[in-house]
Amino acid sequence: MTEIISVNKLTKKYGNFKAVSNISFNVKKGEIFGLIGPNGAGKSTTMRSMLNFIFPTNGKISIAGLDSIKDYLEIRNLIGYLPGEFTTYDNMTGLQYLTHMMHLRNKSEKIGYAKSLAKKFDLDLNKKAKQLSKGNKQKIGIIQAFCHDPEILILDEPTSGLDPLKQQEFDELILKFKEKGKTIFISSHVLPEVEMLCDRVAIIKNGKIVAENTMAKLKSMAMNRFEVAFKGDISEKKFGKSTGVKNISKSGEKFIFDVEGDVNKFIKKISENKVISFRSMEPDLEEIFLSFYKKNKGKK
Amino acid sequence: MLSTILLKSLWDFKKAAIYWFVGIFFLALYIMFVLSSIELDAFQTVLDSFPKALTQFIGGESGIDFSSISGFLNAQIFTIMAPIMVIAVAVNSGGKSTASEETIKSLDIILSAPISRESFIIQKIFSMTTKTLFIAIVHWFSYFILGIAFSQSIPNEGLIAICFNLFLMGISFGMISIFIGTLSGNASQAVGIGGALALISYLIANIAPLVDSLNNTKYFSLFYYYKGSDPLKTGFHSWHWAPFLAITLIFLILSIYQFRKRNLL
Repeated sequence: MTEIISVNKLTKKYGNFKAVSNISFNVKKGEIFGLIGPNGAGKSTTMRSMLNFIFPTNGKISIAGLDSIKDYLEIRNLIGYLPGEFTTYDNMTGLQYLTHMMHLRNKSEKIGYAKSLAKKFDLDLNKKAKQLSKGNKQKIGIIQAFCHDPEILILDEPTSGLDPLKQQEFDELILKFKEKGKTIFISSHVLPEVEMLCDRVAIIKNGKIVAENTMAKLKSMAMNRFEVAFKGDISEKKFGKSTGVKNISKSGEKFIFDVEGDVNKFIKKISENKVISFRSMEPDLEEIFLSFYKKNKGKK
Repeated sequence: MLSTILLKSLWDFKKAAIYWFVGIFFLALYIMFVLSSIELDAFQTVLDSFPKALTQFIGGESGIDFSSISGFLNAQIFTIMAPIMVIAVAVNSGGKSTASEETIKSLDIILSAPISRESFIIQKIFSMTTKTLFIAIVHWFSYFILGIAFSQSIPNEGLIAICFNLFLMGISFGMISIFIGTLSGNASQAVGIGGALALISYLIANIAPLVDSLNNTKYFSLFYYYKGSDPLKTGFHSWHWAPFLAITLIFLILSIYQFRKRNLL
């Protein structure tokens, strides 16, 4: 797969404050890439720089081989965007808004597709925005991003306000886009959703990328978790730093070990006791995220 | 109607345009009816006994002439009410043009479409200009038609001239508000400062002639160029357009420059 988004040493400073600092990552054509991090980590700054809303202090962003600053108009032809705080105009109906947006994109023929998406999302396009709930407004935002069939989707917290059923519809829509070979760049707080959708994930903290890889690799890089049941009592003190154990907790009669790095020493250590059962627990994205955050605690 | 930013902006104004038209027309109708029914000379006799400073403060440098309907229009409607209405529309439209879209975050989606910032702001400037022109034209239309209906002699060239000056003054303040909006991204601030500058300009134009030592400060007021040449009586004075055109052009360039380089947070 070829790279379609390339962020190279991007830095954005506001006075002395660095909103993002020297970050680099690439997104391949046809993949779903997730950028995760808490509020203020630099996700929106990165996305807004990609769209030329914010001008980088240093670094370069290229999208489909085009420069994000010089060629921003061409780039916008390729992009569907949903901002974190989507708002439509209160005095317009959903249909009027989508018609307006498709005209601005010179894609007025796509209004039929917009209507079919509205049907899928169970959205009444004849209601004025001021009569719609937050979730229904968000659906308009999702539809305007998708309905012109862009090559690249940039979505900031896309499922915010959607009920679980509509979140599922949204996930299906995303996967259909991926099937068509489109690229999706997504930022979300809903980590299970990112985990389910994304091929690769970057974790951003204090304006720096602290990890970036496929979900499988991130899982292997993160803390390993093992559930072990022993015959008889064991001394937790035996599992010190030398075994790589970072944390021990109990779940009923079983012990849960969080192990960092090489697990061989840990396995050797537990084999000194009589083991009844042993299970390796795959960390979910939330645990990976917390693991990387804890690892980088204090690093600014 | 929704195919461009300009048309969408004018579409938003459609209801307000009807209210403004009805309001201005009925105000004109009321004034024409009242003034046609009373003895204006008696008014003038009373006004002649007022101190000159007071009549200048109320009616501008040319004072108050209530001996005819056009005199009343000159001293009252086109000194206070019409400028308030035109400036209100221009400053409100200008101040909100970019800043309001930025505040409510609707700008993000528009600028994610293949529309340059220059195109966006220029369409917004056209929108402000069109709305201001509309209010100026409604003033001309109302007093022109009702002047004929009430058989009153309101010089049409003078009426066109003062309405044109009104339009130019409106877009000057509107343009200043657009610029403030591009600086701060705050619509309330842009409208507030634009309106305050208009008020200061009005006070300078009306107070400066009362004090000899301040008399020259009137040249710093756009209200002086609007009405200083008494256009309703004397018609067009194109040299009075220069400050309006200069201010509009300067703030147009500054607004585009500022909006182009601004980080849209």
